Amino acid sequence: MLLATLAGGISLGFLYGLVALTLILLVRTTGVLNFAAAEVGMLCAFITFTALTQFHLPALVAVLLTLVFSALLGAAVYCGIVLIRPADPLTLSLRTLGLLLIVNSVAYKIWGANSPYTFPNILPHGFVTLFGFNVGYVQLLVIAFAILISLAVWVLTERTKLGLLLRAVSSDREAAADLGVPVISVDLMAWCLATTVACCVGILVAHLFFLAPDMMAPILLAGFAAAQLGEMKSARIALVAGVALGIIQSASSVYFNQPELSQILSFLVLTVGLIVRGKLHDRVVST
Amino acid sequence: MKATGNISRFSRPATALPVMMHPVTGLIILALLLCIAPFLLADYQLTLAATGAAYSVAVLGVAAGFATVGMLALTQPAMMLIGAYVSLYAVETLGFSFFPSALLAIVAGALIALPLGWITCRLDKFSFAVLGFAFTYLVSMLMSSNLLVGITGGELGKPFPPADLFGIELHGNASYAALAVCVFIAYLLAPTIFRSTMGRFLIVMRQDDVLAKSVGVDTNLHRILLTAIVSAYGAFSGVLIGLASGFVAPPHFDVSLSISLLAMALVGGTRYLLGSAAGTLVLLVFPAMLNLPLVDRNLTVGVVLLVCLIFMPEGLLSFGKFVRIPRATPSSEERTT
Amino acid sequence: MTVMDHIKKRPHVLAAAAMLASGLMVTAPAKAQSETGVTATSIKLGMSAGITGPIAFASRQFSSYMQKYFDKVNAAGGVNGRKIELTIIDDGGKGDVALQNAQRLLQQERVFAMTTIGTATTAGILDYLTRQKVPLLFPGAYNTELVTPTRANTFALFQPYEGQIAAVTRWVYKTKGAGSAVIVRATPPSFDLAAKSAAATVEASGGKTLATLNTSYNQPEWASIVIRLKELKPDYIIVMTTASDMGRMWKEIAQQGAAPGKGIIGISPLADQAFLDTAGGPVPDNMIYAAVPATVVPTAKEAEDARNLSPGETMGLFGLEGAASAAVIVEALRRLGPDVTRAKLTALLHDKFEPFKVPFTDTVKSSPDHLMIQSVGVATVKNGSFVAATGEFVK
Repeated sequence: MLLATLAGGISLGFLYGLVALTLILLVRTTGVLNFAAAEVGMLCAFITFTALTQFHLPALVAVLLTLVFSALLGAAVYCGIVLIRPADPLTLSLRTLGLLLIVNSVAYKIWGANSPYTFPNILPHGFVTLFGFNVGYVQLLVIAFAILISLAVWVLTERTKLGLLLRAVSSDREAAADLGVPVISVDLMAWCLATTVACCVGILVAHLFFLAPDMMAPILLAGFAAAQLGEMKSARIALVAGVALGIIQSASSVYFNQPELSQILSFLVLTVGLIVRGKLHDRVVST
Repeated sequence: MKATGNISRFSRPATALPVMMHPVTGLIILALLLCIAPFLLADYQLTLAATGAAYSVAVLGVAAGFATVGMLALTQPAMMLIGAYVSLYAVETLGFSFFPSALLAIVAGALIALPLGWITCRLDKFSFAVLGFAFTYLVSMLMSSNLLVGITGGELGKPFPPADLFGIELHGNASYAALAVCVFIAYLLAPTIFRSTMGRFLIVMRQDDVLAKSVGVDTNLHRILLTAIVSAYGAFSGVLIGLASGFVAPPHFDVSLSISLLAMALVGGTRYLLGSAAGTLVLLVFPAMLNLPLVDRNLTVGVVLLVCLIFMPEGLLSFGKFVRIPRATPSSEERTT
Repeated sequence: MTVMDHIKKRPHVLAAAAMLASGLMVTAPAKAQSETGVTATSIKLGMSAGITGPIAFASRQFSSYMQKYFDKVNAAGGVNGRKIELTIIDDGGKGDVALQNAQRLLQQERVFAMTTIGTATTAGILDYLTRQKVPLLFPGAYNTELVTPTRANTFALFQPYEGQIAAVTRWVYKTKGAGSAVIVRATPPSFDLAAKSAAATVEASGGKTLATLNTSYNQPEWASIVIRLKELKPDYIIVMTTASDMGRMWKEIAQQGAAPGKGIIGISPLADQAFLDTAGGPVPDNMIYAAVPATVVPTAKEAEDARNLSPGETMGLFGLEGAASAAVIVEALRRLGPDVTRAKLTALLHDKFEPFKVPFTDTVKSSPDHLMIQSVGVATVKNGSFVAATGEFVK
């Protein structure tokens, strides 16, 4: 049972890590914490659902169209929230709170009345058995996708010219602009990328859970926590933190059988983790 | 600037802003509004207005935290719940009268906030924000569960008894008067707190933490005190909400209320004493009075918040003759273009 | 400037106040002339419903089928010449918003009586309506507090959770044989009595409760629950939580191959389409046994009249319950005759309501605890949709 618990926790933890990555992607490149990232993913899942069930498009076409939509949405959000009147990252992050409420309300208005919905199975169906625990193909896909995105972010930011530009812009916008870096194009690309990743996360979550405007609720907070434990910078640490949170949740559910205790434990782990992380950061910065 | 140990001799930089602008005007306007409301509003609308006034006390706490050190007080709904249930417990089980129970609630909120304040000193804004969300979710969940059902009524909540004064229950206009007095006192105390020496310390801390430390300001202590005060406002607000609406249920005081409270503070304007009242009116009271469907109310909050943060980041009350307020020059890391 | 100075500067305020006062004096009802919310041509009812929020699936249909039932009655001339006007306000499934809505319905809309849908909603307004002496008629809710303690103004149609689960568990044990059970419940206290009742019924029916597993609403992962279910290997799983949580539980059970030996028994949300929508795949026959309080299953022949209220859509359990509530309300108002008052209505329902039935409900009659239908039906899944597991109502 212990190994099965671990397997379950790891599978959940990678989902948390994936949500964390959608946040980190943007913070790392633009410094903005996009509170609405998960809601955007939910909206994209609904778009795919509508394409599949109302317009009866083939799965691949529906997903591709949604990816394009998500990129355009990212551009629109960038223009409407950032470009329209630039400000410090904190204010921009607070603007995304407004966006969160707007996206959530719009989804409720359009689709809320008949929710929840079953998301059509467009991903492979089936499972593999690990330590007596059956891990679905979709869950494996989540794990693979999380690792892929994390690697991609690392390669992009550390190994490519574009990544260098992204890091330059995020560390000192003025200097970058003075040196001829196309700051706006770089930012735009970051936002489009972030929303596209969020779109994929939304579709995956709709498969794993169900489709409804509040479908992200069970995993949102843990995703934020994992991202913050990675100091909104390190994708690898966020993934590890997410997996740790998932294992704690799974194990405490199995062995305590009291959700409130699990929640208290998660909260304590988060608090200690954040404090330790902060101390480590200070030590690194001051040496 | 002379490097003396006595900070009150510091001449404030010309661009620094006092928190709680125009408090006297604000207090007069507030008193007037509270007094004439029962004459102008029908019963149901008065209940809405009274509930809004109660919420605005929590918003005032959030606004003060943000305006001074930029704190994102997302723990506020948890404090509201704690305040409401401490008061309820004191009245129902310990036999307290309403006003002493409210005081107890305020003290409880402040005390419970102390460890949170300690944590604030060790985390940056976003970390504390995430922790705030987690704390609010945790408290709401704990109070909804069967662990504390005797005190909280679980997820279904409990009715909140009417206020009483010297053994006489207050109903109707008398109850409203009690609430109005409490709300007014909350607003009255705010400028006193934030224009005191402590308030000035907090502003210096926001400008430059290291500088503040270097001239002897105990930044940790002040952060902890600030967290306690913000939470005390939250706890008091919880009691008043129970009084105004006659009911307290844990699920309502959740993460989305954290966001709404912050939105109300930002939209009204955190630098103005009546900013909290304005934000609460625009985002909570008016949509309810206009009988907007719930979904449209959330949409309104989102749209108004976004528009305000883009075009009027100082809040609605910065409109008009206040719009030319000089800002403290942001450090180069803060600017994005 | 004093307050009076301000008012003197704004004479229109004083004028408005004077008009308001005189208007109130004019419209204050003369004694016993007419009841609030009742006119010569209409009776106003109010409903607070969680149309958005966690119980949207239940509220939407309950409110819309009730509305459509009233529309049909109105089209045929109404009740004793009066049309029923139902005002529905969304409360997002939140008790405090429900209370606000109730205040608006009573003070602004001035309704004659109220109904609601949702456990949290109903809890929010119970005390308020009792204090205001306004009838609360057959809400779509399973709160124990609706009937215990009995309130003069509150009347229920649907067996609370503890009664539901006891009745259906007893029936399943009798029909499919005794066996071991694991109770899976959400921790909020709404299910405390139901969990105790389930355990007691299992014992009394010759079975054994192996464990009680606690979950939360919107449980993030069901793997940890199902892992334990796999260890315990019960014959039955008795489940009480929301429909979507139950759906996700089934999804995980199916993936882990942890289906119980004999069946899954659940409270009424298990009988709703939302369960099937979140189950992520086909649910096998003869596995699910869900309580259907007071009514037949929505797909039954007897429910045809209710289904025809909205031919274009699939009627779920809560739609049928909405129609049932509406039917009883209409009959009660009809029996009052031309003189409709709150006091007369509550007196009638309290102990003078002679047995009454529509095709899609069991018999409705007065009862000391104001629960006017005590029995439940049992629904099961066959070929991917709900059908009646038995033709009879069970207690």
